[in-house]
Amino acid sequence: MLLAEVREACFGGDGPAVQGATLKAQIGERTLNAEQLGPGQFAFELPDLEPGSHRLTLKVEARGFVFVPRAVTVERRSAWRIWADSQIVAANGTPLDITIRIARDVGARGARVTALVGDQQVALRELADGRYGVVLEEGLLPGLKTVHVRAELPGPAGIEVLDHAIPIYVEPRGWIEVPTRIEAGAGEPVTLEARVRDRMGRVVKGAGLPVAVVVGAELLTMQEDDTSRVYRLSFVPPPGDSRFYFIGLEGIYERRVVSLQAR
Amino acid sequence: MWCRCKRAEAGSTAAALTLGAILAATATPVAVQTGVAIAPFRMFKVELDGDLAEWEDVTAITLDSSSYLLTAATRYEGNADLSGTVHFIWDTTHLYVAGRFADDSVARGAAWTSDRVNLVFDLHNNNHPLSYGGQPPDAARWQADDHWVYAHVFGDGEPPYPVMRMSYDYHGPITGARLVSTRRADGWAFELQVPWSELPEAQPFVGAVLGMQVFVSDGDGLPLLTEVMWSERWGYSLDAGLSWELWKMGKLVLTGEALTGGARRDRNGSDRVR
Repeated sequence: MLLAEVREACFGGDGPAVQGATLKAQIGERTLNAEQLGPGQFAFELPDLEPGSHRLTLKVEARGFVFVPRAVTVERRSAWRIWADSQIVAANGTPLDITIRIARDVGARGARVTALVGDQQVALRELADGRYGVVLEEGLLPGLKTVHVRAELPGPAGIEVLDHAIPIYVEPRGWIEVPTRIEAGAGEPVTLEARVRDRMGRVVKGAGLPVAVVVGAELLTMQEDDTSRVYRLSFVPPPGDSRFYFIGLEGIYERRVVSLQAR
Repeated sequence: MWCRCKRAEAGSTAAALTLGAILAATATPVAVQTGVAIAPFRMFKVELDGDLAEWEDVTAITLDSSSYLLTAATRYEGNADLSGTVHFIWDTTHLYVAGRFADDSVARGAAWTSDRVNLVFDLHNNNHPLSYGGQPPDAARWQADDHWVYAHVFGDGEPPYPVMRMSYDYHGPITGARLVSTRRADGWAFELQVPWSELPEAQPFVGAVLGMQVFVSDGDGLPLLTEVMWSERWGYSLDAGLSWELWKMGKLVLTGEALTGGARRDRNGSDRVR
């Protein structure tokens, strides 16, 4: 909405409002009539104005007055928007780069940007052209996550706050650390233990990954111990020479094979 | 994080039960994950004759009224209308699939409204919720390891009926694949084999984990299908049909030889071929 006032010219300052005036605006080939709000006060509704800069010529008619057309430049801006330039997909155990862009016509400068990643609050550093980023060196546990971004943009009317949620998928990657030797006598139960390590060699803790063992024709799921973070499985192996294949059902883990040694 | 919801549990009941014998000494209960099917290594010679007797010991997944109904509930009349089990086994050359379904009205023909078995594969098991930008991709955007294998149970004319594959760069019959289907008093049964060599990117080995989804289409002689899916619900609309939400997959794990060790005997008493 564009507000305008029509007043008499007066030496040394504004004169009184002009009674009975009509106000029109010329935008390119279009002519818009202003709505009168009060004596000498008008408003133009410009809902369909394309984003960008527009030149308006205001023309007034009122009995007994001569008016000089007034040129006004109106700039229409789209709303501020936050987004990630691409899907954020990472592997667990590798640094996670969260970079977002805040812009409307141009990138936002001087914003204070924070992100909530799980229960971790981090600040994003301003890069260039409205981009803000942070690198989480430790990465995240595997799975689909949501990063909640908040940007506080300084503006003429105060701080404008924008919130946005960005999905991130952390692929389970790494390897399964298996026992070097498994022994059991005939008919005795065995307990298999394994750890999952990420690509940096760190033990992945608390992810509850679906680690399983192929035993003969069967598939047995290991369970992560809440305290030791060891994946464990106890069972009585079948008779005969058995080989156990440790696999991850999600993500990319190299299959590991361990043979059972008879005791 | 990795748990699947309760509705998928029916699909793995058989698998969990088979573990009882070897888990007798387990201190904590252990079961295979829901939404996970296993394909044991082939322990008998597969005769594609529509007789599923030799499959009885092979773990199955179940598709029934507790599975995911994709289409309108008003057209599905319960387990007598459509329900059944699907088994998988494998060897180094083929994937073998067999199933038995109750179906109170069998629809013939190769039209999209006839009875159909559908297997969707993500062979590298690498699709995730943000694959394809989180939007169901058109077939042209599928990855090279994504395939839809399907067969009209009773196709046009005389058998054999073709087994089809749709991939990002191909839609047509699978060379070397075979389907045998038979009518039963309460429905139908099928056996099919698909050569791994005709599934691009396939690498079968013990412990291989394949992303897989299974759904069965029931024609009932009507213009509109009833479709039941195994481990997840994909989007479906009358106008656009199935949304190919390729990240909503179960797993098919290729396992090793049978635990019993020695050769099994088939119901005629002869040794089964390993």
